[in-house]
Amino acid sequence: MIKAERIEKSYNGERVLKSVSLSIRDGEFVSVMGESGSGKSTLLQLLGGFLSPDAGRVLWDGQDVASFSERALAALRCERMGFVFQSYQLIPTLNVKDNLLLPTVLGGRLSEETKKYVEMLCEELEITPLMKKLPETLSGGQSQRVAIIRALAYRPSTVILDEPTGALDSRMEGKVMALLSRINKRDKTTVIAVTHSERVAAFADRIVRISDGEILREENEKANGAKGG
Amino acid sequence: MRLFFKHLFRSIRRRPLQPLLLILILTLAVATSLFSASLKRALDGETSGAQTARYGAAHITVTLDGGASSRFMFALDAEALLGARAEVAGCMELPIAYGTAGEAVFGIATDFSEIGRIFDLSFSSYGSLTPSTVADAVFLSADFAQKNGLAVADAFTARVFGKEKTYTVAGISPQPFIEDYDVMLDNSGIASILAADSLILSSMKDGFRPCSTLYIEVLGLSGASALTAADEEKISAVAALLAAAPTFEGRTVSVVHGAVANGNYNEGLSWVVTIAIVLACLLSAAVAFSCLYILSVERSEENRSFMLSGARASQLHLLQYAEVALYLLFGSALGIALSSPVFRAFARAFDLRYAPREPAVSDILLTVGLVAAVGFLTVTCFVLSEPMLKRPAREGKGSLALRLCPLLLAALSAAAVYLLPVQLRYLCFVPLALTFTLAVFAYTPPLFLRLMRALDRRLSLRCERKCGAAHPSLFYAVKNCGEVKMLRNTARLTALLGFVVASALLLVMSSVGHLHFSKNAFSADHAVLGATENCYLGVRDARSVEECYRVYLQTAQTVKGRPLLVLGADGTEAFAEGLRPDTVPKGKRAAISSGDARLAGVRVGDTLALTVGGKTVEVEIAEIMDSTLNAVIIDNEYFGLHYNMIFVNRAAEADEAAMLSELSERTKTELATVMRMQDFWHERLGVLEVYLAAGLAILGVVLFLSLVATLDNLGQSYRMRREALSLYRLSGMSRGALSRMKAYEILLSLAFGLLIALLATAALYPFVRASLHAFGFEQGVGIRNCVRLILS
Repeated sequence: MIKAERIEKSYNGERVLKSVSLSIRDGEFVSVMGESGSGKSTLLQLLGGFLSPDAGRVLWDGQDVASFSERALAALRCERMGFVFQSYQLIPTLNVKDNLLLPTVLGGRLSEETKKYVEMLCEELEITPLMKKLPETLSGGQSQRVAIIRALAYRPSTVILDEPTGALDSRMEGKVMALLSRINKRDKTTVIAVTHSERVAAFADRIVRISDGEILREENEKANGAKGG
Repeated sequence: MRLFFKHLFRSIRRRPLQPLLLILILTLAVATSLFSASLKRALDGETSGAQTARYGAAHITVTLDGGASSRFMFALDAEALLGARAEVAGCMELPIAYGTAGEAVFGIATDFSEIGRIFDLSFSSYGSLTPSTVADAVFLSADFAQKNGLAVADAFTARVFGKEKTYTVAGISPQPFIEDYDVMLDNSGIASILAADSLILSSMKDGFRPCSTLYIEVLGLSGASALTAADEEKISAVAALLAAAPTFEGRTVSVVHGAVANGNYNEGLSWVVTIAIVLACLLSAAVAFSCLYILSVERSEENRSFMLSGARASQLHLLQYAEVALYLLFGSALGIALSSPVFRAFARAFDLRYAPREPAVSDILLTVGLVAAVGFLTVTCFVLSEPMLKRPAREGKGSLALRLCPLLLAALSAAAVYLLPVQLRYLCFVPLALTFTLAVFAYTPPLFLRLMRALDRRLSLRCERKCGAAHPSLFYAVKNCGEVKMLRNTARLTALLGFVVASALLLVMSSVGHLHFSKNAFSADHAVLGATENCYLGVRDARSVEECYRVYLQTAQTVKGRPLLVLGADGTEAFAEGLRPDTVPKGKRAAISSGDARLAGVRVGDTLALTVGGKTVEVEIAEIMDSTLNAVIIDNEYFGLHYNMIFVNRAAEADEAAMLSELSERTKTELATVMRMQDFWHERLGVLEVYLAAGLAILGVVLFLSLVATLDNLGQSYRMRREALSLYRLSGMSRGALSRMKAYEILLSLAFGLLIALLATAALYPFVRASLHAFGFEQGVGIRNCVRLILS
């Protein structure tokens, strides 16, 4: 379980998040929505341990991320959590294959099974022909798909995605969301995704709407869907 | 444009460390080049200064020979013979014991009234000197006076030829006399000491002014700075007149004009220093290129943003040039300011007495021009290639001929070493240095890339087989080394720096070896010069002497005009290990060192004509020695050339002052000069030591520049990669693993650079050594011997 307790964050004196509390259960699919500059990405980075809150705390299975040692944080990033950055953050000197396998290698968990799994994901998201290419030669959509596969490669228990389909066409968006939905259901993987797209948000169990650094409301999408259905 | 310059100054203010480092590197590059260029001028100044100090205005010297029938040689005789054709001054070297501990110093006895005709003497302080006090007067060098707390008018007690005598200090000179002597006496005082033991001498009284060397200036020359052919003819005529005169029979007449500057070792080492200077300047240029290129790469990102905002390329390029000009301005000013104290410190440390101590304006212009040209060339290269930089630079671009060009040029310059006649091989030095540097510059990055990619493939295969990388830090370091241009540049810079340092080190080591082995070619610690048979008998029976050998040592000229050391000895024991012929040749036979045999083009059985001591002798080569000294060993007595010195080894139980005192007493009537071997060699090889000091100084400066440049390069490249490296952390790499990865990257690029440097140096050295054959450098002083010498 991931829990944010009254977390706050400011940049240059400007409060981006104001006492936000949020609980995400294991195996839950949560979408975070809001306007640009509302604090979605900051919330995600705080949940992922990439930023430290100015106040409050982020708990992973009851443990405060701020208390994690350097080693524990590294283990979190390459064993338990997959993170897809808005700007993809692929390592420019490694080719696509090396980028995909990087967290697995760093976690010391590269196996035949993992490789087959990665190959399968690549097939599914049509990345296989690009394996030898360097990131700077990829288009935005291709980079985004590589970043998503890299986050899923070692089957983390939690995947956090910042605008995972922002650069994808509708066909590929559908494929990515189907994939995320499948791993969420089949592997009980927790998925937290920031998005502007209602279509993407519709795949979530719950939608958290943020405005001006505060949670405006939480919507149970499945319940809404059931009601609506 | 105001906006662009505002951006430039703001970016400097935002991150001031980078421009400061860049200015520091440019400062060092300018200072290194300027220091190196100034050294060359200083060495030339020191050489000509030493020549002037040693020989004054003299064109000819006449020295006593071992076989002279009379030991008395007088300046007056030469004056009488030459009349208005020449000015003459006579000197006699002698050991002087002084102080309660019996310290010994070598002094020179001259006629105070005539020495100023040839030598330009100057005094920092002086007292009165009258005809009645001149025999008891002494002039001292400033160093000696200071060391012994002496001032003008102080009394100075010394033992000369075993007799105690009190002198009064009449003057103090800032420089030693006739280059090497701390004490100068009037030889009328010496005459009175010698006369005390001899009725004949005492009857001659003041008219007896004995000399062991006459310095003769030929008058009526053209007055041009360099001698004309007519001048040389006049000098030769005077020398011939002296050699033929019965008064000077058994003396050695030598033409000494330019003798120091024209020594074959001098010429060789001068070239060695020139190469070191060229390499130092190339290194400075490479360092400036490397630093400014990194700056240009960094600025290109900003430029792209400006271009996208509507800026014109020309405006941005002007900005880049302006920035480089700004850094060059500061770097050059500081470099010029830095080189001056460094150079003065060098001059003080290595006791440069005659060299100019400030950089010349022409050198300043040259070095600043070089670094500035490299700076602007770097920006121009960048500006021209900027569109290509938008894509990752891949290896294998360009035609095969273009890629092979540096290799072909290096091969051509190497081949030229063997294609040219031995005497002209020195012409290959600079092309060799340039083409090998170019090859290192061109081939290090692609070779590093290929090696790292091959290693990456192996590691990846292993990783796949074993399903997990055992050392992820190394695994990704290898991948980065293959892909990151900055690391390839680091390898290239390391290779260039390593190559320059290693080549200069080899040259200096080789030269140190030559000098060391030359000085140790004889097994002796003291020499008695101008020694006669009587001297030999006196020295042989001295209690303080363990062993002594009669030696003939003279500089000869080959037919080709090249100076060559001619040696003779009464036994092979006189020679040390590095110069020991199988037997001392007898009759016409001679043993010649391999370097000289190569240069003279002679083999065993051939005949070689030598002009030695005014005579031309023809020797038959019987042995070619793999020696450590350039020399030909002959049977001097067969050719009527008398032994002219005795080499002496002190008995273990005797102290040096006691031995010098005993030797000077036993040889006084023969007017022989006793010298320490180290002074003997210093007199002959002192200028070479200055060359070596210059080589070592260049090496030190280059090493310092290399270290700073490498560290700066690494620092800058990691600062540029900061963002890329942080992605590893985001991907789960621990801080420790990231540090290890960076350490592996540094280690791999530095190790590869050094490997290339060593390989290139090893490849270059045989050709440089073959080029040094132009100066007859000997085979015996191999690099293994030099390393052994330095380690020992």
